[in-house]
Amino acid sequence: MATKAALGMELNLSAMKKDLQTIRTLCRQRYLRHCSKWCGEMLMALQDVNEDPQEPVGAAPPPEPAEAAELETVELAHDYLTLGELDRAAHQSRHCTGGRGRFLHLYSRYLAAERRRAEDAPEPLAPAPRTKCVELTELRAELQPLCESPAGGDGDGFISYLYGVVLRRLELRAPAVRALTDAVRRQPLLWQAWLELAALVTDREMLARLQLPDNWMCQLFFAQVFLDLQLNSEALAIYRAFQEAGLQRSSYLSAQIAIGYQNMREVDQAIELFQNLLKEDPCRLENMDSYSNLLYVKGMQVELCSLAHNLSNINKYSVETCCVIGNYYSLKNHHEKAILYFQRALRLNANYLSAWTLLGHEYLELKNTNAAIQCYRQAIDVNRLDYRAWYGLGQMYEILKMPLYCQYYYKQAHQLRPNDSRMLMAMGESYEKLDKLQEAKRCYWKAHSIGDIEGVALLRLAKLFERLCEPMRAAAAYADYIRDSEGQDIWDRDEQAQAYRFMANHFLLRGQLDETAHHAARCTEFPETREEGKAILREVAQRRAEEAAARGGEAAGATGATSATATAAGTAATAGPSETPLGMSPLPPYRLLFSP
Amino acid sequence: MLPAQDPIALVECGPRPVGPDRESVTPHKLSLLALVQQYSESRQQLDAPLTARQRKDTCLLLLQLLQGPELDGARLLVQLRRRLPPEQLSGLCRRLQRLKDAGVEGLSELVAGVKQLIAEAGPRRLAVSCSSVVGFFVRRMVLAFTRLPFHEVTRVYAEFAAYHSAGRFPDVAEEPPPPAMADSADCMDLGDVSDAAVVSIGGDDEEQADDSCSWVGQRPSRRQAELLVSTQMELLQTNERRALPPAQLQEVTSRLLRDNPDLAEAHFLSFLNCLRSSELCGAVHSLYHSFDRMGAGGDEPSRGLRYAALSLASLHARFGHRGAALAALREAVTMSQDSNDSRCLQQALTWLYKLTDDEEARQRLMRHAIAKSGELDLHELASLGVQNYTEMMARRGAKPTEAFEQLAISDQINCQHSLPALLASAYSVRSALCSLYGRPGLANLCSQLLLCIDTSGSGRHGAPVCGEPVALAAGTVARHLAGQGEYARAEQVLSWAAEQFPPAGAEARLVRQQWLEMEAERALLAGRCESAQEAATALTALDPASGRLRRAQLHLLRGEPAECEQLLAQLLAAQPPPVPERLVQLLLLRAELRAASADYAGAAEPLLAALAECQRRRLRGARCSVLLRLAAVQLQLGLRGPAAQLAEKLALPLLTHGSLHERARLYLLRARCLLAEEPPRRRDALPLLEEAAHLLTRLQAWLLLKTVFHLRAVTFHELDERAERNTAASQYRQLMAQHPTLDGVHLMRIS
Repeated sequence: MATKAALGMELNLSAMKKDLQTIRTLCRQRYLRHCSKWCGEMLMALQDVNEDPQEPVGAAPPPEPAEAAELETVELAHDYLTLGELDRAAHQSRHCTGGRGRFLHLYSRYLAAERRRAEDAPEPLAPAPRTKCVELTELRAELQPLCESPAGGDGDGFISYLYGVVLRRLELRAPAVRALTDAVRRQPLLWQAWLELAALVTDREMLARLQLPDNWMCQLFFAQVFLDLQLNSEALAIYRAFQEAGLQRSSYLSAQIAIGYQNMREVDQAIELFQNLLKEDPCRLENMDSYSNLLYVKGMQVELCSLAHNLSNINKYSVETCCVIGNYYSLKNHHEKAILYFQRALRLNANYLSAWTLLGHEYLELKNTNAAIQCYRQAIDVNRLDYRAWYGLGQMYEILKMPLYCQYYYKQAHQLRPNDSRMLMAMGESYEKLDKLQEAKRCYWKAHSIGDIEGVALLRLAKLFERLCEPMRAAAAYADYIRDSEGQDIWDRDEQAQAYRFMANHFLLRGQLDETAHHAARCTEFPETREEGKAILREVAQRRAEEAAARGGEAAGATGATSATATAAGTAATAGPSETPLGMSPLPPYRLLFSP
Repeated sequence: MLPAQDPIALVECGPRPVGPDRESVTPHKLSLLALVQQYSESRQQLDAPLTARQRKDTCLLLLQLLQGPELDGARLLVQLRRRLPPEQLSGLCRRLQRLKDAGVEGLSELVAGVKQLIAEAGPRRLAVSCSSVVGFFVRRMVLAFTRLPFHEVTRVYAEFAAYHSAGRFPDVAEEPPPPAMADSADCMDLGDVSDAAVVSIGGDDEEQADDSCSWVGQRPSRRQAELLVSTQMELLQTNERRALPPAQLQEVTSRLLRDNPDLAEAHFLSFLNCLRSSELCGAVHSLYHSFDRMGAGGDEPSRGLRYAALSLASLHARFGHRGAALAALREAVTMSQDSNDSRCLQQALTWLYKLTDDEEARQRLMRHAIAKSGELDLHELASLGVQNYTEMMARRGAKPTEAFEQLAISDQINCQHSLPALLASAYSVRSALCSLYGRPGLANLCSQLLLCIDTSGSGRHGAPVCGEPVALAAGTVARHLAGQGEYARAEQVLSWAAEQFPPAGAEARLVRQQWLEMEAERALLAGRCESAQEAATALTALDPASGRLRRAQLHLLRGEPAECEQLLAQLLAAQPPPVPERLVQLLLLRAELRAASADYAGAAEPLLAALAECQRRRLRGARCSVLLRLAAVQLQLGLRGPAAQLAEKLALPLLTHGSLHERARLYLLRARCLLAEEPPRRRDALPLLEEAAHLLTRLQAWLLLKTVFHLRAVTFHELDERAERNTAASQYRQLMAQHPTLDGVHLMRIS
């Protein structure tokens, strides 16, 4: 079965449903709202699945005696938490010893510390020292003995999760990974812990080193990490397997697939998925910033406007809304306003990655190089894997006329997204500026081989060959370019005209008059090469006349066979290069052994 | 060996410290406010007035604390105990305790209290003048405090409370009289002495604080972070051993960056740190990060970019990526030209002539750089340029007078503008010139001068310059000592030098290289093949050319002429071509090889080439060695007369400036000349052989000593003096027993 092949396991939907119900109850008891919301959404997709009549579902394990004794206290603390009285909740539950009570106490302290930190935090856009987080340090000291017990084994997964989160806030990455791995081992269904762990994984090797419990949630975790690491097809395979197994209605899966498509630049499919999602749930805020990015890329101003309108009606103080509105203004070329909205998004959440990058783009538009560099750098600080920020930095330095300096950034971006031709093109261009033509050639060729997004790789390559005095290869590249551009209806007239002009001259030199005439005729379609095309056509006519005269003078009894063979040879010669571009066999996109 | 100077003036290239100007209220400043209040109130008390000396002490202390870095509670208390009268101290402690007990209210009271000090109140004289240093401080603090919203005030109070308890300020009741203060109060006459003591102790204390500035458990403020970074940056460039060790420094830097992510200087410090550990990846990342962060500040935004390209070039040059360095340099030059930044342009030019291959172009660039740097008042670059130019002139065979005259220009600049680092390297260049021109004694003297000179106190942190020049000077001194057979002392010098530098640094490698060269030389003289092999192998890792030269010598010693010739051919054909001194060494070795194969006519050819090289480059020391070898070859060819004449001529320079080995060989040569006369003057030759044997024993050059003993025994035999002959023969046997010759196949050394 396809599911099994993709996941390496069979999905048992009723067991999954039971899992989700159990963990939802536990999370609700512990005020882990996002997790219980996510479980609820997944359960919606499993509505039609029959439950196993043998076992009652949705019941939490019976409370321990300690918990039963302090039930009232814990419930009250829970209510305080629900009302946002964090310190009060912490105080109320300070003497609790049961699992739930202790978690609520620590969690409310964590939330209180975070809230205070957010309130005291200085303006995120101005340079200022970060505020000290004494409370978090204290919390860590308290959590450490609870989680890092020498016995290991049977700790509370929720507490480990909290410990991991605290460590991550304190930027202690390695211990945080350890704590979160513990958390998912002890409580394999706690989706929040999986998510936090996914944010800490930096590469595939690290992922392979982690020792994780094997369940269906782990597969979703893998998919999430693959998406972050730009391993989109692997991620999509997992999500599709889930969908095929019976979770077609899950909005989470649809959204993740849409993001995967977005990463793979399958814009239309991604937009369609998002539109379906919105149809199902018009008040959805999550992932709408990604959707707006897609609309921006496609230039769909009307849709973007209505989306912005809709979102600002729902909640105008959410980061997603601000981003959508920022994108809208950016599309309308109101960059100052766009900056305002992105800044607002950052004030709401200083670690909101895409806003930093988008803000950088806006500053780039306004030619404020310094501010743009700062923004991109900030984005990289938040997440090193953000290739857009690296690429943006490269662009900045290229604008500042530092072709060598910008290479570092392009290389970083390329490393993160090896199959994206834009970085390669940028690298090729900067190599060309540095007069490293061989390297530039390699970049262009690779960009062409892995699927050129902008459609100029071949053209650049052809020009480079022309510059390197390799007319045959240049001709082959131009021929391919002409074929591609006609096929895809890209009509960059200047470049086309130049291509035709080169081809006409090239064939004229080689004496292939038919091809010359064809290309010269195309030249005349463009204003800038019209005169030259006509001149070439005249020369072709003249040569043909000379040839005819010579042939007539030679012998009247010449057989048609010779001319037939000559034309056959001519067509064979022209067919050769056009079928195998550049005289090389077309390479599959992953075997890029370019040997010029 | 000439110092390989880097034109890396990283302080210049480095980002300028730009910090936020916002005044913040910190616990340290609150304590200082309390101190101001305490002092001014006790001045107005009439019953127990402060003495003039106490007033002066307190004011000086206050000034120092105001302008220094922020201290934590414990360190502040140490300072206060030393410098403050006891009653003042207890008053201050009481005040601070009150401040802590009274909570937020106490803070407002304190600020209101100090505000009174600068407020005009009728005819009464102001307690603190508004325009004084203290006055400015008080006014700034009052303003900053007034601006704080309430929750910030509570935060400040919480910080102060933590600071107070961490500082362990004494309870007012149990305050004991601090002994140091009691002393200085009692003996006022000894004021100067005790003052000096206090100052020096204070200095030590600060140094300790700097050393232990891993800032364990505390988070340095922005100002402290800047101070830490600038201190470490300067130390890394002047005296690396005083700086924190690489791993620790990296940890401190990353902690600083966690708190102040926009502190570009910390990234730059991390870049320097990676550079000294030769960690390319980390250096590149830190460099880019540093300049990305730095862009925002400063009056001229593109300034950072120019220096970014320049630093990138320096990084690549450091790691030997010449092409990349030149490309980065071109960018820096283009951008500096675009924005008319002649300072940056000069820096780039300095790098450019360092990286240029072509001799002529290099000379032109250097002249241009020196002239232009002088015009632009870039004294460091000018002085460095002059030194580099001197080095190049010397290599190209300039007259000694010209070279030294050129170097004097650099001295003049160093002296006028007090550039200690360049002063040291000027001594180093002078020493190298002396040995190049055949005056090892003078070279030794210059190196000793460099080692004795006191360059401390020139920088902001008072660390003496201790870098490459010191390592080179120690090497020169050690080489000189080894040449005189004082191996133990030479080793002592080098091990002292090794202690001066952190073990993994470039300077430590240099010291190690010199030590290995000395070892190889010594082992070759004594005929200890294994040790020589070991040293040569270790040397190859540090300096491949030098290591291969020793291996070639070893092959000769072992009687493997083919391998020796192969290595020699490789070394002679190497690109870039060997420097003149090395070339002469190689040619000499080739001559020795041919003579050892009894191809005496063939040996003359490389010797003549070497001689020509010496003449052209004016290498007088090397010239004597070549001539000595030539005389020996002449003698082998049967040209006794010219050989004797040459030996006669060489006597004066070699006996004045030659090493023990050269002198011994001279004696041996002259003895052989006498023995080769018709009739042989055996009696006259004997004392010469005696002298040679004496010198070679001192040098522990057993291999040659055996030849001398053998020759002596033969001479006695020919004189038919049996007793002496037997003594000499038994000496030879003894030597053979003590230092067995290599398994019978070694070549006899010609001499």
